[in-house]
Amino acid sequence: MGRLARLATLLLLRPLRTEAFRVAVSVVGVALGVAVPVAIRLANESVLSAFARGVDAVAGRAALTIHARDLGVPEEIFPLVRADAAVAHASPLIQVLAPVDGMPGEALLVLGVDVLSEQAFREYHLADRPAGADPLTLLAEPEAILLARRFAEAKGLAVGGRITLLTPAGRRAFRIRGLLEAEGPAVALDGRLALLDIAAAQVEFQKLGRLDRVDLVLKPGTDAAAVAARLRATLPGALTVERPAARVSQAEQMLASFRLNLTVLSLIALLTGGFLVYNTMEIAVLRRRRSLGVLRALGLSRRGVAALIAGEAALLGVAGGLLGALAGGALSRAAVTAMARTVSQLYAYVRPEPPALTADTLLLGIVAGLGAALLAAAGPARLAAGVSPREALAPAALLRLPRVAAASAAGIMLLGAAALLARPGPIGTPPVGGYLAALAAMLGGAFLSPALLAALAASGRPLLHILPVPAALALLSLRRAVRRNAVAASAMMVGLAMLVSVSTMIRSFRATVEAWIGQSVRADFVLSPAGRYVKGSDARLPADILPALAAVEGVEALDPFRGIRVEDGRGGGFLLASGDFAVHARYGRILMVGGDGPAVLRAAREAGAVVVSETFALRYGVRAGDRVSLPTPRGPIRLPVGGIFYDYTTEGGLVVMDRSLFTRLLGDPFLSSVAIYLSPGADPEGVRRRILTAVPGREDLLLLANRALKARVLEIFDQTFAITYALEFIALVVAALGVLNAQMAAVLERQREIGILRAVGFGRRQVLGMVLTEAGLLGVAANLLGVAVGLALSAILIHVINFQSFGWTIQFHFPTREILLVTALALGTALAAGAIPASVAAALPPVEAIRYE
Amino acid sequence: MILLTDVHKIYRAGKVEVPALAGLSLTVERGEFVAVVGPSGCGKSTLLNLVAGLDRPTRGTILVDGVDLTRAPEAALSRLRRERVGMIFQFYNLLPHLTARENVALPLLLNGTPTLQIAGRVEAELEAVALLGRGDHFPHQLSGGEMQRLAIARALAPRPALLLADEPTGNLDSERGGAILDLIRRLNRTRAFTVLMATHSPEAAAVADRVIRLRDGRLEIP
Ligand SMILES: Nc1ncnc2c1ncn2[C@@H]1O[C@H](COP(=O)(O)OP(=O)(O)O)[C@@H](O)[C@H]1O
Ligand SMILES: [Mg+2]
Repeated sequence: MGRLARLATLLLLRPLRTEAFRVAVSVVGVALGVAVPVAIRLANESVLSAFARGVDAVAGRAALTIHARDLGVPEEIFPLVRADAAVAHASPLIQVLAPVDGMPGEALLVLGVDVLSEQAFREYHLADRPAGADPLTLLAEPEAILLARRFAEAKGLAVGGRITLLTPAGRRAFRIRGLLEAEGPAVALDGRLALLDIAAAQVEFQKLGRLDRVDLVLKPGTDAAAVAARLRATLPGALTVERPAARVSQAEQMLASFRLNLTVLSLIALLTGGFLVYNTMEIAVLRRRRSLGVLRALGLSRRGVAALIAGEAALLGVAGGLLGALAGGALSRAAVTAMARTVSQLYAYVRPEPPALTADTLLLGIVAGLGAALLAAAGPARLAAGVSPREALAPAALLRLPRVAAASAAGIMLLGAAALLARPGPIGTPPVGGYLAALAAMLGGAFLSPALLAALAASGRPLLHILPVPAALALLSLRRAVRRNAVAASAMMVGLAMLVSVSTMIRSFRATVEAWIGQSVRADFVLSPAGRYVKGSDARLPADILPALAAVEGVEALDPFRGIRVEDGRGGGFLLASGDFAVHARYGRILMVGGDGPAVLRAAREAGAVVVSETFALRYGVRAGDRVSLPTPRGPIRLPVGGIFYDYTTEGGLVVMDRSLFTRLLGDPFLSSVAIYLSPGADPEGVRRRILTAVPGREDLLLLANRALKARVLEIFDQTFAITYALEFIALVVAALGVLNAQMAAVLERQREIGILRAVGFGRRQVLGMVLTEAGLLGVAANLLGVAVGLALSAILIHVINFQSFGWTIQFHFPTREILLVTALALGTALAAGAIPASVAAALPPVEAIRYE
Repeated sequence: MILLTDVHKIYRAGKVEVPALAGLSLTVERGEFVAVVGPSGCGKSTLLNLVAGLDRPTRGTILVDGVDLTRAPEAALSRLRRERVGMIFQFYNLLPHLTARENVALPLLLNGTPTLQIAGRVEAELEAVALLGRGDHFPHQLSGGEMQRLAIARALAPRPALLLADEPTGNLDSERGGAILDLIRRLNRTRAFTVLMATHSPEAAAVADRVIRLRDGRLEIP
């Protein structure tokens, strides 16, 4: 055996053999830190695409749509568009509303689709057919039509049967070739959807050579607004190129933000794993001071000692990295499998494949583990190299109190730096400052832990005489062993901070997704003119239908919405809109920037004020209380701003006023859509029928049921969050391991002292009491710091990193529940972690402990 | 072998200055066995630590085996300890997770002794301290006297020119302490290394060629 191998065996492996516990804690720490990024990397594709499907379900997949009002789009432009470098997919559509013969009041939205292009846009799935069979191929047969199963079943129609539609050419009979599952568009239209081949649709609806719409999916990373402008300029004729109303940039940003948050969270996990290694190594170095001194006396150089520590870290890092990569593989598989179940309910097409753990991922895990461990070992290695052999070898090692003041100064400087860095830079630039601020906040908190512990110990000093002896000894020991305790407290603090910030982040992001869905998919039903869906966004309803709607049995409230796009005179524009503030305050889910939504709306209604979206406020520098000048078709008006709300649905900004004010100022008698809220317990199908008959003679109305869609979509999002909840669990384990390790080390180090106490008559219970008191104090300190740092991290993530990346604010979910949980956890684990070594110590025969050398 | 000239060592504990050595000059010849005696706190350990290169003097010069310890870089001091200086202590300072054999082999592994020779050298050293049968035992399985003998074997394995012993009998009863002193004395004769031993026991001092008395960091003039 070579000299180095021998030395490594004796000096690295041998001590580790007797320190199984510490080794386990370190390896598990690294493994957990590595497992998260590995799992996220592996599941990334599946998780992101599942999330993307959720977004698509709400917003549709097309990034741009081309239409031309009533005239239609000439067919010749289609090849031109498809050839554009930025366009990934293009799908031509015929879109008409066709009344069904023999079913008064029933109309189907007929989509004429190009079988080959359509797949990239909307997903259709046949009922009673094996997954994967492409239903669109059925359309190749003459007279073929596909209907939604739900509609067919309600009307007693079956495959092979016929349905007759009223077309401009008269009555046309079609043969039903298949029924579509309630997915994608079929859900959105509540089953009133029929598919035809595009060529057949052009013939039957007399649209030869014309298209109603061309939908585009762009290549990743292209700027939709720029492509739209280019197409507008280059395409012949007066075409409208715009983003579909729902598919505003926020939908894409939701995705990008999800990706960013996943990345940040996995980096925090790695950081935490590294911190755990730091914690165990630092404690090990303090504990092995004497051995290290002996090695120095035997002639091992400072560099040799540092190499020893680095070697140990490398061993732990490689083992942890390997284990972490394997665990990450398992974690990602579990998450993706869970997700696949739900996602395929909404999109049977997609079956996310459980990811395979490849050699390069394994290697990545090992490298990450090794890197984190080596980085974490830098401090302990320096500490070890600095061990003074003279002091380490002195029979009664001289006590050197750590420089609490120096550490605190560093901590305060780091926190100051964090505060300075935690300012959002220009929106859209990489938030480097935010990342540094997060790191500085975490380290700053760690550096403050000695001061906090010292303060805690000092505050107990007046009580020393009245406290029971074990508690008094615990207080003294807390102060004396500040360094060891500070390392333990900061390791625990990092775990708790991760727990707080991860849960805040997840809950906040989820709240944002919910708000987005809530704003995009409002009410139980939305009544809108079909033309709005067919031709673009300018179709409208007369306001006089409202009384008839309100009178329908089962309808509890109506929120009429009217939006008109106005130019700001600076080349941009925004949506000037109205709604019923009273209804919105009661049923809507409006979220205000600072302020209670319903209260602000009611006040704005009284004061004749508008509320503006966050995007609008940022773009025009408007604050609550200001007066804004708004261009309207009747000339500019000036109105006070009653509040600013978070908006995740409108591009370019939104200004809303109460309907009464809107009608008075603009005299506009139209509606864009009406959101309908049902009375509790009302039967949706019955209400739907009654609504359609309440507005007679309007076959062009579309009544969309939103609630089912919303529930499904939320389910998908929840599944994609499954992997993030795993992060919370990991944070919890890390926090517990940090304390357990520190307490174990503390008791081992004090075996001698404990033996002496036992020898002078300390009972087991008193020993237990002493160790537990110290553990509890440690838990209190770690908890205070952990909650503070965790909140700071969350705030930086939300208000700096996310804000700078996307220009809108994630809903801050104040983690009250998590803070309580963390507090209970901190004390609980601290005590539990203290109890194990404490009972070990208490059970030790006094002679053994004294003999220990 | 050892030459100290006007060596001062002042410890600073907060604002208080503790002069541990105050102008000590001293010569120890090659092969000589010198005992340093004096009351607790007179500076014996400080002296030994300085000679071992574990610490540097505040003032004055120290030459050990031709190396100027006040000027030599860290690495040279480590090398000196690896190759030329062995140390034993009151509390043995063995590595608890290594067997007796491995404790002795360690300095040989560190100082570059050809690996093929190590096993033989270890056995020879264990034999010299009468621990041949205990090679596979861990320190905690040995008695105090055995642990100190093992420490001697470890210190002498690299064949140092100088052995520094800080209260080697301080933790032992007089019988076992006497045995340790005899062992050191015998090896000092047969192997001709220099010994500098700190002690406060008169019996210990009695085995030495020469006794130096320290008081308050200075030589005590009798
Ligand atoms: N690290 C230190 N800091 C402050 N004073 C010290 C330190 N080490 C030793 N001393 C002081 O120096 C003096 C000499 O100590 P030492 O050499 O250990 O004495 P001895 O070994 O003779 O008992 C003592 O007064 C001791 O308190
Ligand atoms: Mg001494």
